[in-house]
Amino acid sequence: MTAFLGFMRKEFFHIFRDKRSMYVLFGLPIVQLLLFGFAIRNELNQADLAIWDRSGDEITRELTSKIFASGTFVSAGVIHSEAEIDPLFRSGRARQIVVFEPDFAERLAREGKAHVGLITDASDPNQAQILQAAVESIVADARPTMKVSVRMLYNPQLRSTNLFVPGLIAIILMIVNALMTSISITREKELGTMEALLASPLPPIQIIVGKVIPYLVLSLVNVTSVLVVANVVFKVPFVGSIPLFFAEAVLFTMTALSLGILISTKAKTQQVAMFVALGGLLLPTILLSGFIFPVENMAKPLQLISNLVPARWFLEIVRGILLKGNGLAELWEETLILAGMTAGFIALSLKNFKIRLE
Amino acid sequence: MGILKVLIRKEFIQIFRNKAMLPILFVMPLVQLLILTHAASFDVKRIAVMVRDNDATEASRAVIRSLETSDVLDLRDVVTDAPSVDRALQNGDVTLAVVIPPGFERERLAGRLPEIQILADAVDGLTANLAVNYVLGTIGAIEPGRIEVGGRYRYNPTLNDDVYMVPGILVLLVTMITGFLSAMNVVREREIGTMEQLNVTPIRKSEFIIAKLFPFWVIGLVELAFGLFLGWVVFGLVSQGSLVLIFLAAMVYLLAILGFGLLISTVADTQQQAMLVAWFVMVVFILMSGLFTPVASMPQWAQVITWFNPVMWFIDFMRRVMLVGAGLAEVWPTYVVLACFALGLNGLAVARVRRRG
Repeated sequence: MTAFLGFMRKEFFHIFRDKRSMYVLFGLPIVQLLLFGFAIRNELNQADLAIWDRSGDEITRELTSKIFASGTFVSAGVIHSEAEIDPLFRSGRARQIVVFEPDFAERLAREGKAHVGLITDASDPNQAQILQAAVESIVADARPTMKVSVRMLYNPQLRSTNLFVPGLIAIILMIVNALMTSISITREKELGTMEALLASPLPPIQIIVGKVIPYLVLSLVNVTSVLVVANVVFKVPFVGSIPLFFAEAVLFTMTALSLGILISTKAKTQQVAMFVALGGLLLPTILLSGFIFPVENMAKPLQLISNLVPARWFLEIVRGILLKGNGLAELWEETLILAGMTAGFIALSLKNFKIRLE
Repeated sequence: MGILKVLIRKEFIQIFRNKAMLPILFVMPLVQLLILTHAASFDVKRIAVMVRDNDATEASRAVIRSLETSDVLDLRDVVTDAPSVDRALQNGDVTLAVVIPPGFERERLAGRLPEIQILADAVDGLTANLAVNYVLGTIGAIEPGRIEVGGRYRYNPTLNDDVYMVPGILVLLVTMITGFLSAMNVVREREIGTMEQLNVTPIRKSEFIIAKLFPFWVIGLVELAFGLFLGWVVFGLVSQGSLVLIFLAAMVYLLAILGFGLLISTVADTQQQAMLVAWFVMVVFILMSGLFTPVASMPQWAQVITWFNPVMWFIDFMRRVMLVGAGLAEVWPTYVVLACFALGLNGLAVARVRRRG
């Protein structure tokens, strides 16, 4: 046991004496958090919109002022002919053009309906759709047939920071535990020091455990610092239970660690370990977990694949705990899936771990 | 010149001796293109909704029917009690619940405006907003005598977002591969001790650097060509603008990225460190590049920061050339900017290269 403790101490030294990596490990999540909090927006504001009012009556003027009063749009001027549309888009001066048909008010009174045309620059299709939906709801709201009150639950101000923080936590845990671990074990192989370790009286299992525990500690400290900054600077709520959160975080850490060990049993050089961890673990964690892009919006085959990404389940758990105040009663399914995956990965990496060098 | 050729050959042999390298170079782009284009979408395709109908009249049923017939909305359940609505939202079974209060029909027949309540799970604010808009549009449509809104989408009438993502992903791809590889390469020599051997050979510093970076420059260009080919085969995307323009820009851009990798190489002591630093900078570059979230939605000061991001410039260039068909007249400033990046980063890196352990 003393030998094991000594080994673990050595590993701690190894990791913490590398100041530069420490700066990155603690700095990166905070920088990302600040970027997501201050700079990155997926909602839309200040879109340039031009008006082509072919009627020019009371109602069209009312609609026009309602559109700009919403705060979503900025006026890009008025146009008077079809020919002016293209140059406006090409130069990027407008993203959308609203066209009121001639005799708008008259038609509305006489025929009971009138037409608003929207022409949108759809070279960014996501934004184009959001722009059209925004105008549609403003127009629908202008002549109400019923009152609708909307309550946005769990995130009333629709802040994207609240959505991104759980994803950031998943990424930190993956980077520190899977990426760093796999590289650090592969490094011993590449430099030839693994031989020395294996020849020592420590059993191989203790070597591995001793190597991963510092990363586990590091990542939990890291996650805590992100949560504190998120809470203090961005007022991201923490509604649910803190012990439950940390229990789940440890579970996910185990998942990431076992994946890191699995990679290191296969990879011979640090470069290979890095690319496998990057392409096989980090990218899916960022792209297929619902971190930025909702899983429901993905193509069907990708939705199926996303079920295999551990971070997807962890994200649901963390969002549930942080924002909705969910407990195990709601989260037992996700927890069970994550636990099952972890058990599988640990078994797999133990099976692949070779005590002998080739 | 002779020694440079030999050195470059040696580097190529070293890179491709690693059996894992070829799959990384040619499988990763394919996987990234396929996954990213289909995953990176804010386009809401299916929204799970439920209704709490406390009126149970013809009018409330008309609302329910309108929700049922929508393509986007997926009506999961109609209930009468509040707890099951809370439970479904809490569990994430539905994104949105419509509550029709008692007296809904009576109010309407009396000519007053009856009230409907919408409860939305707003953890994802953007999706919640879109979902509410869809429901408002759908419910509103049951009333006659309203203003119709019809839309036309220019430049991409079918709203195909695969095609929109491809140019940006190509940039991401070449940036990651060349950036990471070059960042780790020089460090590796130092870490495993072969730098010493190189030091005792009669190679000049410039030859050493050129020999190290040239292979990655070639790999980056091949990677881009392969990616363009995949974009054509898989998504049928043919560049609207000239390929010559694209490759000329890529040549300059890759120089900048290689300079960036070399710079990291000079500050890092181990490959792990180099990788972490490269990852750190890369993440910031990518988040601030407009790849996933438009630069235009950022606050003004953040948009100014993106001017110092070569990735933003090249993504913008690729989108304008490939999708809108911009020509040299419109995009020449990008060349100037990229060249400045290339000169600056390489100058900084070369000044810092130390060959001693």
